Amino acid sequence: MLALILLLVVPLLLSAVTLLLRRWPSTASWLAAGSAALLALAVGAVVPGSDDPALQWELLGRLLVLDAATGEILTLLHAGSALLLLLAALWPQGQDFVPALLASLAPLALAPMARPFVFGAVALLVAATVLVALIQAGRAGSTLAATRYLTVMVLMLPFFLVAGWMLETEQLIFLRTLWRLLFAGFGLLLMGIPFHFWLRPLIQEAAPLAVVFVLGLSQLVLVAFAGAVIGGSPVLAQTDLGLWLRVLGLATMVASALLLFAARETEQAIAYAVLLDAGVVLATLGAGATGVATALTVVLARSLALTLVMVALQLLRQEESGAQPWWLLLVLGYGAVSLLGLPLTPGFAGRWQAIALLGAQSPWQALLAVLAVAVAAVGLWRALPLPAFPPADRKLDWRLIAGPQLIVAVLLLAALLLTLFPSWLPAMAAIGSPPA
Amino acid sequence: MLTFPTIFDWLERLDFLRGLPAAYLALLAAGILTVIWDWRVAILALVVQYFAVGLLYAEVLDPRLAIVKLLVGVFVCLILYFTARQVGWGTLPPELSAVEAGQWQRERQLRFGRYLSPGSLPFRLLLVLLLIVVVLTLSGRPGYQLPAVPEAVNLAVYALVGLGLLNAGLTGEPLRSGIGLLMVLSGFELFYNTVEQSILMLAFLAGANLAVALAIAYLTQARHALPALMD
Repeated sequence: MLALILLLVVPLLLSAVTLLLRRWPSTASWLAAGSAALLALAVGAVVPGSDDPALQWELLGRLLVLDAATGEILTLLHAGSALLLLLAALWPQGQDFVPALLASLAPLALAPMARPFVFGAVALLVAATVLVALIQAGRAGSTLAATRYLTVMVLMLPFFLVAGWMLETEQLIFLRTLWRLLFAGFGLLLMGIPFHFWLRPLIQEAAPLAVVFVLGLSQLVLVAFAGAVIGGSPVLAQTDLGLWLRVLGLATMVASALLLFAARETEQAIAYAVLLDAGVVLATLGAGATGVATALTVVLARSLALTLVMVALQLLRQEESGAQPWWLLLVLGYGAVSLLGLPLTPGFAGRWQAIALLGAQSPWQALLAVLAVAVAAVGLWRALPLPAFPPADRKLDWRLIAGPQLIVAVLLLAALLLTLFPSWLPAMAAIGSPPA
Repeated sequence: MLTFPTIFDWLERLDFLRGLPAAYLALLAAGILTVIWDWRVAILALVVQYFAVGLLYAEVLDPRLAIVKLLVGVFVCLILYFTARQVGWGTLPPELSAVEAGQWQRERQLRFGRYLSPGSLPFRLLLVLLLIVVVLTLSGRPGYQLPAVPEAVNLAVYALVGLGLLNAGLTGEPLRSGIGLLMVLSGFELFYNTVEQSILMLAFLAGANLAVALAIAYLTQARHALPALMD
């Protein structure tokens, strides 16, 4: 019961406390970051090990199951949230950012634990309504990103609910309808083309760290949920769901590569690079039993790359003189290249695994994926601002290193370590994926 | 002694509206919601739509559960009503100066004799009429009959989901688009709660509806705050 209270009640209580501290965003962020870090440690301590039996609770006749894989995902979610809240203490992200992030942790934790998965789908919708506040973060102005995000999340619900009902009542003569419903649900949930229309406004409008949470950390839960749906229904193995997920994933990759090729603005390019990554996730989910682990690796790497990109963008936007310091442009470029999964970046481990998985299905699929990444890389090269060498703006005075530079350096160091030791990310993801 | 009528008494009194009349009422309300963009009319039409859907729920659920669905709808409408009132029903706040008000892009108006109408009204009307024809045609065909639902519920589900999607797609304005999403949810739940009558799921979906309404209210406030209007 302690784990349930930690996962479902404490974040909501903390959210209420930080809501009262909205006028002091920095204080609220420090408090929230500390609490989220403690929460991550506590969750890590109470989740069962991979050899232990899963924890189970009955809630009004339905089950909540916390196994080692889900526990690992939730620990990562809380630890990543602590890091984002720490960054938000340095760069306030809007008055609703901190309470909304904390409040979203509860329904996000509920989603992969709920059995049957229909309750998880409703929890994801509730989480989305909270994430709407995270995206808007109290900012007056355009609400396009948040409205579109809400639209997609509302529309995904019916597909999962009807599919869940069909599975529960064993209407297996309608297997074709069942997998088509799930296919549409996954397309909406995981940003398959053409349901990506909220992505670009999100990167343009939302606070940078909100982008990292919505497109990075929270996607860990969505992938875990998708893995639980696919893995929990063996009957789906007899259907074409995997094939069509691969088709949708590859179509998303190709379309995003073409869009990126035509992109001219930095935010646009970042949005399409994330879309390409989403295509990889969809394709790997459809590529057999180990697909979930690979998809989790991809999302973990995406979270880190997006943190680099969005922190660099935040600092570039803060430059009052409009100057573009070369080191920030380098960090931005490195993060963006990592989003594409090019070699010598943290994103490469996941990309390589994904291409290998697709290659095992058909060499043509792997070739198409590689071509999409190559075309996207050319587009990224054209769209991103390039740092001048030798640096033309001003020299970095290492004696005047301040907090932001230090944090960027730490993030960069983490990225370089994951590049040098590419097996770390897949190892983390393997713990968080259900046994094949 | 004065006795308050029970749910069953109310249902008996509203017998003339049950079944297909309730489905047509839902269709009419959904049509008005999509065609007329005045927020006062829209919220009133949403109340009527939830009322009609509540009557349809009484066909497929225990009336004591159907009343819960109706109450959720009423709370959703209350949330939207107070939000719309707070932001002046989407009109310009009176404290704006003439110069500031001049920057506000108003929709082009069409003149019909003495009356003015928004420029997109004929287009929306045409789309709604087309969709109503499609809904009436499809819902009457055996191949498009949803499993385990009566004819009236079938028609209402098609109408609410179809017109809700149209409403959500026609505008990016959070309140109008959000009302479209609530229509889609309402139509879908009408079908889903017919086939899946678990109390827990009913409660979960009620919570989700209220959460969506709160999110729409939050976005409407953000969109119509004074600095946003001056964007």
